[in-house]
Amino acid sequence: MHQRIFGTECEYASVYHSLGPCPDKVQCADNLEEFHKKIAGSLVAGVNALGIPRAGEFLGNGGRLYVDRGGHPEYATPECRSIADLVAYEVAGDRIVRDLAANLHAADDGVQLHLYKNNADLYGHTYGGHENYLISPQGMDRIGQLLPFLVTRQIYAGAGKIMTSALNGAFGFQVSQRADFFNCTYSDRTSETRGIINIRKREITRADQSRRLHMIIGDSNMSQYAIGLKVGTLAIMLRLLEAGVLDPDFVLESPVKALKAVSRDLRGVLKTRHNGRWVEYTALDIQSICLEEAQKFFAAHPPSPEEAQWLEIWTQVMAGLQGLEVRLDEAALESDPADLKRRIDWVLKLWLLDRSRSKGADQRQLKKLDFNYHDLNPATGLYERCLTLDLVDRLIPETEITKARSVPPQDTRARLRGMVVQHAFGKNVVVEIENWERIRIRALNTDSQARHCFNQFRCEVNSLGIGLEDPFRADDSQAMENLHGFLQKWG
Amino acid sequence: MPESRQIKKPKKKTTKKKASQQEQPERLSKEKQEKLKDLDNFIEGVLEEAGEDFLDQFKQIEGE
Repeated sequence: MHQRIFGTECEYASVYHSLGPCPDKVQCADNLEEFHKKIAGSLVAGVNALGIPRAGEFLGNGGRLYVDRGGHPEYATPECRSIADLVAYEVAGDRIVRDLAANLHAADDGVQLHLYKNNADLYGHTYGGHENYLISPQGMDRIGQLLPFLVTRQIYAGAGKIMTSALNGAFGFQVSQRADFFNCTYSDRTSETRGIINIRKREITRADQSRRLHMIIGDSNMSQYAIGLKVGTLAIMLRLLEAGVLDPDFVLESPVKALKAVSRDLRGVLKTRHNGRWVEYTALDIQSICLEEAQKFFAAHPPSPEEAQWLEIWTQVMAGLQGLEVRLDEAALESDPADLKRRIDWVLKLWLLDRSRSKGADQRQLKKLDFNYHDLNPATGLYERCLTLDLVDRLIPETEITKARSVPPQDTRARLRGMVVQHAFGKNVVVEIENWERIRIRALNTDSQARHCFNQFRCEVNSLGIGLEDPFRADDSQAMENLHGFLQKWG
Repeated sequence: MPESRQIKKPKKKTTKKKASQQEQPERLSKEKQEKLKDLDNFIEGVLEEAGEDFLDQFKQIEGE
C-alpha cells in the first residue's frame, strides 16, 4: 500500500499549579476522577472561545477533542496522508489544548491549569499516545512479524522517564514511558490488559477492506522529529510487511520481557531467532537489521520522497545511537557525539537531568524536572523552553503548525469533515458527527411541518447526511453543493 | 548457544568526557553560552518549585 492514512491520539494529564487551595479540587473533595473529568469538560467546552469551529467533538481542522477515560482531555489528529502533515496536526493539537488551559483560569489569580503530554504518573497510572495506520488485510494477517521492530523502536521513539515510584523510592532512568504497562503480546484491550499489538478489529469501509492498525505501545513525544521517527519508521516497515518480504522466522523469545528490558538497558541482550538459529541481539542490532532490510527493499522499489527522507533520518539516528554512551541505572549521559538530544526525547531529557544533577539537584527535584519536560506551557515547560532557545530541531515551520489548528488536511476525508464543521459553525443547524465516517446536519428550531417525513423513505426535509466512508476521498463537490443548499435554506 | 550479532561499533576515544562536561565554555559560541545560561536559570526556577506536594498534584487516573 503506497498510499496510507495516518493519525495519532494523545491523552494529556491535567495538573493545577495553585498558590492556594484549588477551587475545583475542593469542590470534588477526594474524588480524583470526578475532579479530572470536571477539568477536562471545562477545557473542551472552551474551544469556541478560542475561535476554533467545533461540532460535537470534532474541530474545524477535521480532528477531534474530547474527554477520555480517566478524565484525560484527548486530541485525535485528522486523517493525514503524509508524516509531515501528521506531525503538524499533532503539534497543532498540543497548542490548542495548551491555549485552552491558559484560558480556563485566566481571570483567577494564582490558579493555573497546565497540561502535560506524557504517559505516566508516579503512582502506577498510565494514559496513552496511540497511533493509527491504514493497512492492507494481508499486512494485518502478518502483523506479528513486526514484533522485533516494535519492541525496540523505543530506542529512538521513547520519551524517557525517571524509573522511580512514589511508593518505593527506586531510582534510575528508562527509555520508554509505556513499556512497563504491557503484559501480553496480543490483546484487544487498551486498559488494564495491554498487548504490544492491539488486535481490536476495526475495519475501514473501503472496497479493498483495508484495516485500521491501532498501535498503543508508543510514547507521546514532545520532539517533532521523534513523532516523525515513530510513525515514519513504522510506515516504512509496513511497506515491507505488506510486500511480504519480512522474515517470519525473525522473532523474539519473549517480546514482553524484551520490551521492558530494552527500556532499562539499551545494550542488554535479547534472545532472538534469526536465520534459523537462536542468537543474542541488542535492541540496536535488531533495529539495524530492520533498517538494513528496509534499505535493501527500497534499493529495488524506489521510495517516495517522504519514505526516502525518513529512511535517511532513521539511518542517521541509528549511527548516532551506536556512538551514544549512557548509564541508565544512574540516569547519566556520558557521550552524545551525534547530538541526538536535538531530536530524541529521551536523550534530551537524560541530558537535562544529568546537567541539573551535576549542579546539585536532588532526586525529588529531578522527578519534578522529568514532569516539567512535558508541560505544554511555554512559560514553565522544559521542552518548550529548549524549543524557544533553539536547542532542539524543528521539523515543521511554525506557520504550518498555526495553519493546522484551523485548516484540515487537503488530501483526505478530513477536508470534507473540516469544511462541514467550518461552514455550519454559527448557523442555525446542529452538526452531529457520530463517528469518523458519517455526518448528519439538522436544522434547529424547525416546526412540525418541517419535521414531517415527506416521502415513504422516511427522509426528513430538515436534515442532511454526508458519508465519509473512503478516507482518501477529499473532494466531494456534490456533498459540498448539498451542504451549501441546506445551509442556505435552513442555516 | 546463542551468538551475538557482529556490528561495527565506533572506536572509543581514549579520553572520555561526560556530556555535561563536553561543552566547555571556551569552546562554545557566545550565543550558545547565553542560551545554556538561560536554560540553567530556567531549570533553577523549576527546581525551586519542587515542594513536597508536587507528586500528589500530579496524581492521575488510569487512561487507555
